[in-house]
Amino acid sequence: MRRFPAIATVVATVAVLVTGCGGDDGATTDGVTSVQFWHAMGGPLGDRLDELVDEFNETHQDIVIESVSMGRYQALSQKIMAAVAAGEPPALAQAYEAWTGELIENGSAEPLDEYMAGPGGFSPEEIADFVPGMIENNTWDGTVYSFPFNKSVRALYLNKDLLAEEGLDAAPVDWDEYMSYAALLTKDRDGDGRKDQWGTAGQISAWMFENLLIQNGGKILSDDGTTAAFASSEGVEAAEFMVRLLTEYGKVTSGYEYQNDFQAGKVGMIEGSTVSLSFMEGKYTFDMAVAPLPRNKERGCFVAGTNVVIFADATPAQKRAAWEFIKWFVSPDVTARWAAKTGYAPVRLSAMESEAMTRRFEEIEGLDEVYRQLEFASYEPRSAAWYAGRKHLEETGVESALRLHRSPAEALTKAAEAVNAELRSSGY
Amino acid sequence: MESTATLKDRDLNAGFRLRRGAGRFGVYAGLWVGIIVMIVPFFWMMSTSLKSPIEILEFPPTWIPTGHYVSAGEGTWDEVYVVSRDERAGSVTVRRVESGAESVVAEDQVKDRIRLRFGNYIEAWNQAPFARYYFNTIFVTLFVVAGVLVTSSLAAYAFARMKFRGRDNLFVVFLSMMMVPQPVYIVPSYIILVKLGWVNTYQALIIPWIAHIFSIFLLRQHFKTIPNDLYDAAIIDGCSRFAFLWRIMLPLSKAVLVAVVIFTIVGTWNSFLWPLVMTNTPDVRPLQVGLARFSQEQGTNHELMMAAAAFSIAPLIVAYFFAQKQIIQSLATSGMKS
Amino acid sequence: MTWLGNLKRKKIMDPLTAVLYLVPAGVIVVVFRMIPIGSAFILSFFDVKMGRIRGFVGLAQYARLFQDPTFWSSLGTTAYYVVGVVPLSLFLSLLAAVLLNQKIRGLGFYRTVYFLPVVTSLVAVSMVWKWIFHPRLGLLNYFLGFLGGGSLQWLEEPRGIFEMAAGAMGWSWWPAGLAGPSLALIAVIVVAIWRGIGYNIVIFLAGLQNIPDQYYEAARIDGANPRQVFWRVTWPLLSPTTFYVLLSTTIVSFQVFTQIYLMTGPPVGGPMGTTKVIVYYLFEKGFDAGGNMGYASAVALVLFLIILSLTLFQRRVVERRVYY
Repeated sequence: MRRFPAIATVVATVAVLVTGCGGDDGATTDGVTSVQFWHAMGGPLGDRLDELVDEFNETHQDIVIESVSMGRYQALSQKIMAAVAAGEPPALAQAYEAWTGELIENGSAEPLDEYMAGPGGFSPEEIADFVPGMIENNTWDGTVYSFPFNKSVRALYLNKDLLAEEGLDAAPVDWDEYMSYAALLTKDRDGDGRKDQWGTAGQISAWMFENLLIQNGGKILSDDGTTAAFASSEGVEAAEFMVRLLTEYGKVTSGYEYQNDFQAGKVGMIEGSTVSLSFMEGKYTFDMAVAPLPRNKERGCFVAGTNVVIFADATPAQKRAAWEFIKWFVSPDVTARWAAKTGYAPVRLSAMESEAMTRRFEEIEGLDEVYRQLEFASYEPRSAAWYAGRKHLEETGVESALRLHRSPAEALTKAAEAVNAELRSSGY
Repeated sequence: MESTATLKDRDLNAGFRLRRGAGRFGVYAGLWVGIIVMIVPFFWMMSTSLKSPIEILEFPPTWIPTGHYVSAGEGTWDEVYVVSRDERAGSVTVRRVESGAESVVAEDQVKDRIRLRFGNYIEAWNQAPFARYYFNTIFVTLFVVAGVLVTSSLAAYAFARMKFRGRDNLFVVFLSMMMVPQPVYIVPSYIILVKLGWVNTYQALIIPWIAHIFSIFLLRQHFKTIPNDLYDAAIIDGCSRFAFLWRIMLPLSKAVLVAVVIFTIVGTWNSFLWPLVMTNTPDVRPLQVGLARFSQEQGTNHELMMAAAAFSIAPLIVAYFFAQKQIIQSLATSGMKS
Repeated sequence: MTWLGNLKRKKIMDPLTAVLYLVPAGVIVVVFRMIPIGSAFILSFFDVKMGRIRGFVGLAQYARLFQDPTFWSSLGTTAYYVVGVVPLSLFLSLLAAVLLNQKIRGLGFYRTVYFLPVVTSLVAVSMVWKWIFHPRLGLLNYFLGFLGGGSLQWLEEPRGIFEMAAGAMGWSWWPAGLAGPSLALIAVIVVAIWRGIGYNIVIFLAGLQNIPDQYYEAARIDGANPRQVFWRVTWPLLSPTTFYVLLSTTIVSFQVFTQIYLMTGPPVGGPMGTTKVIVYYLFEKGFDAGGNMGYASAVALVLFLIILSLTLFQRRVVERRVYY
C-alpha cells in the first residue's frame, strides 16, 4: 500500500492518454453535416466571411460550416500540411494553386468535375458566367480541383486632391505618365529642405515587379516551367522602372506603412490590392479614386488570392455539404456581396451588374475599370517550386534592388540563379 | 582582455568593501546604466500605450503622454491634435478632437497637459477575446505546474537514488533531447496529437509538457547532494522509498522545487510555437498566441499593441514583484546545483 | 510480502521500482519527444511533400543540403548570432554580478530590475522592441538624433555592420565577404541579451557569494592587487558557474527561433534573408507549402550534430580548465 501514490500516478497518466482517444470526426449527427472550413481571413475580412458563413448556416438547416481562421496564409498552409500528414484534414480549406497541386499529387484533393456536372452542379450558361480564366486556373490535366474564392487584382489608388493641385485630372495610363506624375507629386511642401510629399510609395513585394514584368512583355518562367525567365531585358527594364519610381519619386516602407502614408495624404498614388479598400475604409479624408495599372508595351495584371479545395478524406456527406457551400459562395449574388464588402473581385460576370456592385462602383470611383483588368489578367505559375522560388525573387531580386544593394540587372540574375536551383531540386 | 581594461581600477574582489570614492561612484554609475537600459523599454511600452494614435506619430516623441489644448473661450478648453508645425511663422495647424475642425493658431496658444488615455487598454481588451485567452493560459499553466512537480520528483528520485542498469545512459539520452529545437519535432508531435484526438484541446497544451527534462535534471542534481547515509538509515527504519521521497527529500528540496515551479510557469505562460500550431480556435487559444494574432491584425496601431503587450506581461511581473526574493534565491541555488 | 520486504531491504529490487517512478515522466518523454524526434530524423531519408511521403531517397537530402547556399548562409547567420550573444551576455552579466557583489546598498533593487525581462514573454517583448527600433518613429533613432547621429534602419537594414562602419569612415569599397552580420541581426542580438542577462546575473551572483571569504583574506595578506585577486581567486573559483552559464547560453542560442519569427520581416528572416537562422530555415523548408519535410529533417539532424559536438567539445576542453 505504501507504494500506492506512485502507482496511482502511473495509472492516472495512462488513463488520460487512453481516454483522450477518439474525439471529433465531424460526423453526421441528427442529419446535420458539419464541415470544418479552414481559412486565413483575419481582421475585417474574417468578420465579413463569418457573416456570410452565418448566413449560409441559417439558410441551410442540414449543414453547419465551422469557420476556423488561421490568421494568415503561412499558418494555414502549415496547418493543412500537418493535418494531411496526420490523415485528418478539414473538409474544406482555402488553398493557393501551388498547394492544390501538391494536394492532388498526394491524392488529398477531391476532383470537382462530378459535382459540377451533377444535379447540384452548374449549367453551361453558369460556367460561361465565370470570369474567364478562373476555372481554367483551377484545372489540372483537364480536371477541376478547386474553385476561385477570394481573388484580387492590383489597382492604382489616387489622392485626387493632390493630383488636382498639379493640374492632373485623370489617372496615368502608361509608364511614362506614371513616372512623370510621380515626379510632379514629389515635393517639399513646408520648405524645410526635406521632401515631405511623395509621388508614390510601396512595400517590398514581388507582386509589383511581376505586374510590371508582363506589362513590359516579359515572363516569370520559361514556357515549360523549368527555368526562370524574369531576368530578361524586359525584366531588367521593369525592375529599373520600379526602382527609379520608388526610390526617386517614392519611398519604400516596411509592411503596410505606405498605406498609412497614403491615407495621411503624404503620398499621391500607391499601388495596392483591391482588398486594401476594406482596410482603408473611413481612414482618409481626401477625394480618392482607383484606376487600372498603367500599361507599357501591353496591359498586364496578375490575379492574386486563393481558391477553395475539398479534401478527399472527408465523408461523402461532408463533401456534398462543402460543395453546397462553394456553390452558394460563388453564386452571383453572394460573390457580389462578398466583393462589395471586401474588395475581392467577383468571380461571376453577372455579379458585376448586380445591385451590390453597382452601389460599390458609385462609392469608389474607378473600381469597375479596375475589375475589368480581369479580362486580360494572367495567373502566376502554379508549381510548388515556384511558390518556394518566389521568395528568392522577392528577397534576392526585388528587395536587394529596391534597397539599392544591387543593380536591378544583377539582382534579377542572382534571383534567377536561386529560383533555378529551387526548380531543379524540386525534381526529387 | 577588454574586461581587464574596463575593470582595471575597480576593486573586483568580493568580500571586502570598496574604500575609494571614485571606484564606488563607478560601481553605482555602471549599475545605473544597466538599470536604465533594462527599464526604458518597459517605460516606453507604458508611455506609448497611453497615447493617442496621433501622438504616437509625433517625432521627436513625448516621454509622458501629452494632450494639446486650445482655448474655446470662457475658461473652457478644446482638446486638439497637432497636424503640423510651422516653426518659422510660429504657428501650429490643429484639428479639434471632437469636431474634426482644423485651424491655424499661434504656437503659444496651444497648452500642453499630461493626458493618459487608459481607454486604449479597454479598446485593446475588447478587440479580441483576451479574457478567454487569459483563462486558457492560467488553466493550462496550473495543470502543467502540478504535473511537472509530480513527474519530475519521481523521475529525478529514480535517477538519483535507484540503481538499475543503463541509468546514466538513459539520463544522458533524456538530456540530449534538450538539444533538439522544437520546430524539428513539431509536425510528428502534431500527428501524434491528431491520433489522440487532442488537437485544439487543453490536453494538447498540457500533457506533452508535464514532463520537463530540465526540471528532472535540476532535482536529480539536488537529490544527489542528500547523503546516502540518511537514505540507508531511513530504509532500515522501515521507511518506504516513497515515504523517504515525500517526507525527507522533498522538504529538503524546497528551493529547487520553487525554481522548478518558476521555470515551468514562465515557460508555459510564454510558450508560443507549440500552442500556435496545436490550437485553432479562441476557446483554447492561450494569451501569447492571441497577442501575436492581435498584433498582426493591428498593423500600425502601436498604442493598442503596447497596451495589449502591457496587460499580457502584467500578471507575471506582479507575481514576480511579490515573490522576487524567494524566486531569485531559488534560481541561484538551482544554478549552483547544476 | 515477506520476501518482497527482504528483497527491498537488500536493495536489489530497484529496477522494478525505478520503472514505476520513471513511468509518468518516461511515457511523456517517449511519446512526445523521443518518437517525434526519432521520426523526424527517419524522415530525412525520404521525400516528404505537403505532409505525404513520396518515396525513399537515401542520402539525397543530405547531398542537396551541402549544395544549398541558403543552408550555408543560415548556418553563418546562426554562428554570428551565437558569437554575438554568448560572449557579450557572459561578459555583461559577469560584470554586473561583480559590481553587485560589492556590498552595495539596495542590492535587491538592482537585482530585481535586471531580472525583470526574464519573466516577460517573447511575443510582448518583440512587439515593444520592434516599436523601439522603428526606423521613423522609434525611440532609438530619437536617441541617435539627440546624440547628433543620423537615423538607422535597424531591423530593416540588410547591410553588414562592418560594411556600414567602413562606409561611415568614408571608404567606398569593402570586401563583400567581410560585411559582417546585418544591423538587423545585431538588433535581434541586442534584444536576446537584454532578455536573458538577468538570469545569468543571478547565477553568477550566487557563484560569487559561494566563494569563501578566507580566500580573499589570504590573497589580501599576500598583498595581491584587486586585479590579481580577480584573476587568481575569483575567476578560477567561479569557473564551474561560468561553465554552466556558457553551456546553457550556447545551447539556447543555437536554437533561436521564436524571436526571429516574431521580430523580423515580413518576410520573416529578412531583410534580404540576413536574419534567417538555421532553425527558422528548417521550419520554413519543412513546414511551408513548396517545402520538403525530409529536407528540413536533414537540416535538423545536421544542426543537432553541431550542437552535440559543440557541447561535447565544451565539456572536454573547457571543463578541463574548470576548478571544482
